[in-house]
Amino acid sequence: MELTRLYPRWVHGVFVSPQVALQVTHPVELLGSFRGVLHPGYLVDLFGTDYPNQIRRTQLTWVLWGYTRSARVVFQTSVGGSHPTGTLVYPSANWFEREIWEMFGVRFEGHPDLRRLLTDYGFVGRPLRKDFPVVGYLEVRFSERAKRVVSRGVSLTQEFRVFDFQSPWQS
Amino acid sequence: MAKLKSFTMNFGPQHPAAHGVLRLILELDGEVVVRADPHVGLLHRGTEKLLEQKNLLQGLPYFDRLDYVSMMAYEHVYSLGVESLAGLEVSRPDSYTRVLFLELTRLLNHLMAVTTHALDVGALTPFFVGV
Repeated sequence: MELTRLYPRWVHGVFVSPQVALQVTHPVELLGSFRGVLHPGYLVDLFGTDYPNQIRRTQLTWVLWGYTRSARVVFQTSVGGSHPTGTLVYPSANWFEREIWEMFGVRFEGHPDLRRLLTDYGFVGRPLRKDFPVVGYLEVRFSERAKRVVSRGVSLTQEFRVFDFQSPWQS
Repeated sequence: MAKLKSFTMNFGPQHPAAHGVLRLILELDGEVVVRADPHVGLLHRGTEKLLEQKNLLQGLPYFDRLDYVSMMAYEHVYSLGVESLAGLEVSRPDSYTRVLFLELTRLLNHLMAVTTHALDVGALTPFFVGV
């Protein structure tokens, strides 16, 4: 693909299956140049994936869409703790980056308003990391004595069950 | 009288003018909303996290819940993802059935969106006709 020739410092590889995903190192600079190519296009999605056995454990994926060229560009990079923000290029990165910050703990440098977005007020932990348990750490209930919702540690009344069968008719 | 610049108001999480749960922290200058800070997470159910512990078939019902008038469309997206992962291809009659259901849910979605919008702006009849 000619992108590796155009940006040899930033684009390291391209794999085609079933969509094209570019492996890059300087995604924010690349966002700026794609903004010119897709004039101006949209940042449709930005999401993280956790790979706990890697040092740069969070893989970020940008999905750009430009309807004047009917082109969708997907590129990925792996990050450790922090990453420069893309909000100055595409303002729609704002909430995506807030979500990645709360779900994976990636700090976006230069983000105008990096707060939690989807989790509960006062939530502790990075819920979309693979080492975060599905049941979480806290459960909430309404306390009749305190007349408000209180939280305490999770206590399961039955053992956590995983129904990992080939088909639901197997036992 | 002291001149009041702007004041902050809470909207929601439960409000009759909002469809579902949505909380807004509004900064008002008279009747004009100067700034709004939406708290959108109240409907977040952590579907991605739940799917980590499910096999592919068990994951399917979660996609019905993402949008209650286009269940088939969301299930279709998930099924396409599973199929492209596994390298499967559905038969012709099956893909025809899929198109039928996609179109059906698309029509339902438009009926729902247009008629409830009419409800919100004060017209009652379109919703009854749509239903």
